[in-house]
Amino acid sequence: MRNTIIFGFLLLSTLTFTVGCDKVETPLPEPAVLNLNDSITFPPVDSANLNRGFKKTYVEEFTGHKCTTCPANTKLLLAQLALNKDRMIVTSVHAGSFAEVDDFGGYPTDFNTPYGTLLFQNFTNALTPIPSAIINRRSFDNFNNLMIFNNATTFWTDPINFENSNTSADIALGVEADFIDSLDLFYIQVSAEALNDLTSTYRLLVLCVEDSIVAPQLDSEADESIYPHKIVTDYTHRHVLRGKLNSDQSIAGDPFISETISSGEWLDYKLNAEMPANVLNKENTTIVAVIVNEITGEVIQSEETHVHVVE
Amino acid sequence: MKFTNLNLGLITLFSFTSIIVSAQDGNLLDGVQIHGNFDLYAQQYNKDSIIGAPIVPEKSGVNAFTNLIATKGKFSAGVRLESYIPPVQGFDPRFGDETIGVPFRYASFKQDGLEITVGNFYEQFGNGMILRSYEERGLGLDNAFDGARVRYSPVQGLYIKGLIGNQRFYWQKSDGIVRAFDGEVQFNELISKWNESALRVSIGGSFVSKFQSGGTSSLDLPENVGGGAARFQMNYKDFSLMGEYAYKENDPTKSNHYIYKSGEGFFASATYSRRGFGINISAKSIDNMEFRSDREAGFNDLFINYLPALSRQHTYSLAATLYPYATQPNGEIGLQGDLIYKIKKGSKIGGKYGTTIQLNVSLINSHDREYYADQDPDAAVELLDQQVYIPEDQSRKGYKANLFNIGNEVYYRDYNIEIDRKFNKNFKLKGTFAFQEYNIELIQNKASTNVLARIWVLEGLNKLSKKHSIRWEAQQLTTGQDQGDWVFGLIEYGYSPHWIVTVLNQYNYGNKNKDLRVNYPTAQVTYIHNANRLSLSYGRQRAGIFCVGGVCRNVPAANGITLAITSSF
Repeated sequence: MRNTIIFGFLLLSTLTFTVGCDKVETPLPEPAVLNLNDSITFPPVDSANLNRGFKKTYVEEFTGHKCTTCPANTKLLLAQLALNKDRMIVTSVHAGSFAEVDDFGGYPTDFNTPYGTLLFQNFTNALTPIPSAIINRRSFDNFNNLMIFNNATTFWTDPINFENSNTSADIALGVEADFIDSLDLFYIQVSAEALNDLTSTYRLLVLCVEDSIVAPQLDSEADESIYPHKIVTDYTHRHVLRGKLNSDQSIAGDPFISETISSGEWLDYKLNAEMPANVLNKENTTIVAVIVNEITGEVIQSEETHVHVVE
Repeated sequence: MKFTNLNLGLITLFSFTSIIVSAQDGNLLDGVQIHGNFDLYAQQYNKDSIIGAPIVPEKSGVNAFTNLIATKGKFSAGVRLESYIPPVQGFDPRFGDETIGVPFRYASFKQDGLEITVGNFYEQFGNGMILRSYEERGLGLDNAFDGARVRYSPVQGLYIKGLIGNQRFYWQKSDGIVRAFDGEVQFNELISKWNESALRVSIGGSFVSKFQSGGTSSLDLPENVGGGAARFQMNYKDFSLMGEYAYKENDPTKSNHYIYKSGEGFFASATYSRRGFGINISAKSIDNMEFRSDREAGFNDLFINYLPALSRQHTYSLAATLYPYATQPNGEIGLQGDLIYKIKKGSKIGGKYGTTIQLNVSLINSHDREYYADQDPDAAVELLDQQVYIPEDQSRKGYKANLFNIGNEVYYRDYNIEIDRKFNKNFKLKGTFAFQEYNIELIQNKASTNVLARIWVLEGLNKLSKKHSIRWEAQQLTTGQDQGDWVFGLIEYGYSPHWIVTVLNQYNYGNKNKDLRVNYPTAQVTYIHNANRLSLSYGRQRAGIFCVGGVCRNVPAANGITLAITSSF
């Protein structure tokens, strides 16, 4: 008995030692060296085209290909977008258990991105129903102080309409993006003009979004005679987040305004980045630029542009 | 992960008694002993904006605890019920996630040097520098393990322990799993020839590992983080010496800005003590030694280890709660000296009953650090927080530091002297003076230069008769920083053995803001009967910090009634 116990302890200690420690030598891989071509210029943002009249409504929709009620709700969101296409920007963030890849179940496409998962974890918890949406990353005191909207709370249509009705903005934003195919590089320029004196700190988020990806989606409204198990194999996924292009790991992007900026001041931000590896059709990509108040986390302006692919 | 509920705890206790019942013949409950204790702390809150007392919608808070332990022969089992309706102000509101529940339950068996515990348990290896789980109710700290532990002593003098479990996180459990192993050899017990030796020697060693999933961070986080410690202790007649060295592998956490530097800690203490004289010198240096079972945890949550404090635990109100030092687990180096000398009774200076003098000095500084990312530490930390690739620090070690290189930043100084003298059978006087330098920016996050405080305390005890006594305290703290000068006065009437009536007041007479020159009067009645103690007080509670062993919590200002009941059986 005694020998058995001693042997047991020795085994336990050996196991503890052997499984006990992971040594990490390079926590972050060295970023790939971008082969820039100095003769290529960044696409200019035309100041005349900046939107100065209102804050755009930036909607981040949390969804997943195994979420059966998502397509119906996305349909409503897209209908709202169609009516307000100059005032709204939508990004679909696939994350969480509904977005897990399931080869055997019929969901082989991986829509997850590290940034999307980070965002999802930041704004939701285990009890948050999917689909959900956050609107300009702010809470609405006229909608029960909610920040995240879904069918279990206040649905997102009314708060989006409310946000679409605003008539002023603190900052005007423009973005232009070229993708140089020969270099496999984006040349992105974001320009902003302060419309009021700003004293807080702000970050700039630059995202790559791909539209119209055809891949399976569970849909409670699907006709089972056509789509067995209600899996719509040729579903068109819209505005899918493909990745964050800023190098900074913050969910709010790169530092953009760190000191007081006066009304009328102009800021330029230039970014070279590679096309995210998960993009299937670069012709369908857009670049979304979002300015986030670092203190409150709230989006104060957003803009998007279709990527111009230069062969 | 939901923590155990009330039913589960009670099931443990009742299962245990059922096992005893079914396993025995005759009168099955013979010999079963049930003991435990009860502890209740309740506060009622009134609005008092001048002292900054927060408005409490419930207007009251109650923390209550009951331990029930059943033992019979080789078996024991226990539960602790806790109730927060809602938590008393100053305790983490997450305690209020459940109004009542059983966060602690266990069953244990002991035979022939082998002890097995399943359920919740506390444990400490050596000084605790690599592992210590404990409960400090006054701090709202409870990092008990929930899992299994085996202790075994195959021969006299050899002690081994192994454990695995998750730690308590309010009403839940930590995501991280802790696995640990410890061995200790007491040579004087192991070697029969040394049994009677004046030289007593022991050595010990531990290894602790935690597992936590790496999640989705862009950093390659180590999911298994290991650490170890080695220690020794020797006593020879009036002299004793002990030391411990602890090491921890790369453990990026929120608190250390996700650096991959290993952690180190060293603690040594030498004591010489004989009748009427004692001296102790302790030294400590710790660097990046915060070890928690969840890398995102903050405050006092989910610590696996405990870093011994090198500052005196003051008991007088102004010295204890205005500028108490909190151990800085990410790095500090310190030295403490204690000297106690009793001047002989009957001597000219010592007087008829003798006089005791106690000197204490604590010196704690930063380490000398050199950051890789930037010469300016703040800029370097900002870069680390952004979690970007840093060419100058590709392995994210953060900084270079030697465990014994003292930095220029003073964290804490405390020079104090205490003289205690009994003048006659009915009168005793104790005088204390302390000079403290306190890095309030580091410890309390208040923008200020270091606080320099002088504290005088005089305490007297007058025995009026066999049953009646008066104890009084007069304290003053003077400082040019923070809230300025304070005075404190207390009178306590004792009617032995049951009653104590106390009246006290503290006054912030030196506050630069005249509106905040506020009195904090309190009156308290305490009744003691055998193992029961009940106290009721009414008054203002000053905002401050409450620390035990270098671990602290904030105490908010309050105005109202406080009720405290303790009882054991």
